[in-house]
Amino acid sequence: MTGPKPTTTGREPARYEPPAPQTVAPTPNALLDSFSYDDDIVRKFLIATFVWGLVGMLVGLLVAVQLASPAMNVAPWLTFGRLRPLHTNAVIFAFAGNAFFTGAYYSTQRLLKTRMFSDGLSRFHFWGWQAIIVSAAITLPLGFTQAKEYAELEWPIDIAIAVVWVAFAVNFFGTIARRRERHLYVAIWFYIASIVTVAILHIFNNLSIPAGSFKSYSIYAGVQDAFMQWWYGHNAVAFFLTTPFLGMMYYFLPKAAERPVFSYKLSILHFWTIVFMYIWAGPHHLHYTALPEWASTLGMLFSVMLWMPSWGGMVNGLLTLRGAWHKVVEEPVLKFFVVAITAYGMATFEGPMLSIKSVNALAHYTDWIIAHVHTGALGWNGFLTFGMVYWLLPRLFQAPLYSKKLAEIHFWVATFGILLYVVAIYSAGVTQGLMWRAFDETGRLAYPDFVETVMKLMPMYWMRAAGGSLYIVGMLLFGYNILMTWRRRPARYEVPVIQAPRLTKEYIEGNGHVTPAPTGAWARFVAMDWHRAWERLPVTFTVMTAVAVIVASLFEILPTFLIRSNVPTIASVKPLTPLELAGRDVYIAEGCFNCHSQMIRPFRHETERYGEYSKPGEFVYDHPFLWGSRRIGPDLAREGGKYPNLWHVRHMEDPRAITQKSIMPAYPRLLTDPLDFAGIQRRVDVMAMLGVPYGDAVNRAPEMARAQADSLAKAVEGEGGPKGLQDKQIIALVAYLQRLGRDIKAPQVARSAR
Amino acid sequence: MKSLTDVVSGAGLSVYAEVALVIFLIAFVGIVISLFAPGRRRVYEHLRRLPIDGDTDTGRSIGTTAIPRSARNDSRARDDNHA
Repeated sequence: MTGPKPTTTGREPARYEPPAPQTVAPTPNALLDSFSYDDDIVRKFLIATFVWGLVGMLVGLLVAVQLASPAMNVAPWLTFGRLRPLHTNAVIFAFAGNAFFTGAYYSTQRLLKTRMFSDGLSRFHFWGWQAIIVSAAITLPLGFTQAKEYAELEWPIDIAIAVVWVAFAVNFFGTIARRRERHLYVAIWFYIASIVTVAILHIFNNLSIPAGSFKSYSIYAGVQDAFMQWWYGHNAVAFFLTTPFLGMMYYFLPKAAERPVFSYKLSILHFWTIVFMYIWAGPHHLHYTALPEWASTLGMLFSVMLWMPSWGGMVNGLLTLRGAWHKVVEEPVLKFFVVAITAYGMATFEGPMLSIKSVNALAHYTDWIIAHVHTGALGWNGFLTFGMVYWLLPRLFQAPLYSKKLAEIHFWVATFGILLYVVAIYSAGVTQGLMWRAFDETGRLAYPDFVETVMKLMPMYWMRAAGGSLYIVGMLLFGYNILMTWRRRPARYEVPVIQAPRLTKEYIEGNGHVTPAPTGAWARFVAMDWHRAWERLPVTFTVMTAVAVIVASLFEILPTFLIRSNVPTIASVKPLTPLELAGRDVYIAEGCFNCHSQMIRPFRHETERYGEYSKPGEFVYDHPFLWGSRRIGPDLAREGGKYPNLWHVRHMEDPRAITQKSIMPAYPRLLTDPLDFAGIQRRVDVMAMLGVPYGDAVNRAPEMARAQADSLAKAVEGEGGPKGLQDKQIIALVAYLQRLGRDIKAPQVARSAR
Repeated sequence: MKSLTDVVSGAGLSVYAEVALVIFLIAFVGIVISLFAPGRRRVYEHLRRLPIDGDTDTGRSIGTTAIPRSARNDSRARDDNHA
């Protein structure tokens, strides 16, 4: 290495000297503008990233411990079913979201040589987003949920998210419009794709009809709802956790390594392949379910193809460090980046592998998926964020980092934590998956009691909690380092004044270089400049990205909605009664779908355990669908009639009175809390509006519900159960559970068209 | 909605997905061709270096060194000794 090493002695001056404003030599015929960057907003988002990250991870630790020790479900609003969505939302939208905004607000201004379009919009974006997070943290524990993964928040919050997102988009595109750098660096492309696609995904997946101030029903039902949800769910991973962070990687990694990205062409290829392929991959979340097979095959193929661009991006990132590996040894920022990119590579190898149907058959519903997600979230998103923040701290707070050593310890503690977490949960996933499908020599299930397969996981659940705790210890070190660096900040931040020439109307190649006139057909094609024109006109580029995303979505989703043979109806499947509908809403509010699937796949080991496999026609009235994605407890698709009514009452009151080793939270509250009969009418009405044939119930839902509740309560009493349950929530829930999967047992006629 | 479903169901759209696949493949090939077309190098090189030297925040690594805790409070006073 040539040149002085800036920082190694440990006895550096503590005061940070802001870099001298760089003056740009004025080009002829160009006016020189003076401006400054808004770093205040970046500081705000940085602090929010840490705070919400810590909150989200602590909730994660709590739910992890709840799985190992059900006594930790200490209050109704602190049960696993309600907290698990809080954990996922906090980590994705609060931690990773604020990290994205931190990185985007810092890099966009510098890459475009302009201040953000509007400081007011920036502040509105910041405070609006934090208010949304707070409202999520309040409503989810209260049981307000749409029951769709990562889209649990109810409709008023969904509207607020859309408004804040649009404000962000206006601010972002306004900044692009006022830029002083003609060409858009690839990071900006990734940000644009993220902003546009997340808006589309959010709006279409959350279309629902309100049935109360914090209650709504999805306009889609059953198979279609599942398809929309996983189109959203997978692309939320793609465009909220991948593309924004790739944009950040392409900016902050070259910055920290002090050398340009290995191959700019590869980064463009990376971008377009990601945009073109990701959007198709969603159906791999629904292999062997009632989704039409062509759709799930399509999802699998595109997922496998995604492996290539993802690894292209990983290689591009790692090779950016060529010739700079010695810096990795001494610079924690680069250490975090290297592990982040490696985790990206591992997760994007594993994702395509898990999307292959035969692998998915084993992994689906198990902890393997949880392990996969955490490789991505803890490794890729977490470490990229840590590296970025450590790099930003001295620049934003204009003081040297408090302790590089502490950052180094953070790195090792967190890396070890990830390994412990992931190894434990991989092993838990494979173990449970194999136990579910094991037969003994007589051809019967080797582990017919579901709880046996759960008990086996206990040591791994504790190991997971230990790994997660280590990661949180790292997070605390991180927070301490942020705090102490912040305390060293100057009394007033220096705000360097930057000078840059305005963009001229006519396009001058590079630094005044004029492209020679094209000769020949090939050169003329190239000189059409259509691709470069997109860069100058991000509106067109944005429209093209949106079109790629929308067209792919329509091509994939519309046939499921509009071709009848894709969703056969079953004559014997009828809507739930008003009481059962109310019970279903209790099931949703308690978050039962977080642990119990309602989708039996057509495998012998599943039909032996749970009963006849699920048919698409069984779900035509399910607004929203409740297929679930993880079996922490057994599948409930054919629960109806399996046990006496009293069994369910006792089991909800205290699961361990029935199954000693059960890890399900106890719900004694349901036996005492009254059911809101009057409110059922509105819910039935909304269902009827969505096309569910409710007949007479649209006029007298409460009466019908009361009549059914009375007779069911008598039946419970007759079985030797407690008296007076007819107006309690438990009765609705038992009515719902006893209905599950029974319609198909009636003489059935499956038809492809009515 | 029902009539729309009937129309679309009768339209024989089972090759819909394959058509989309071909359209996307063509668009993608177009992108690759333009990407590797000659005459791009200067723009790409400019873009590639944008975060490093086109950017007005100089990319120098600045002070990520640990300061001994004892030295922290009076560090400002000690600046002169080390400057």
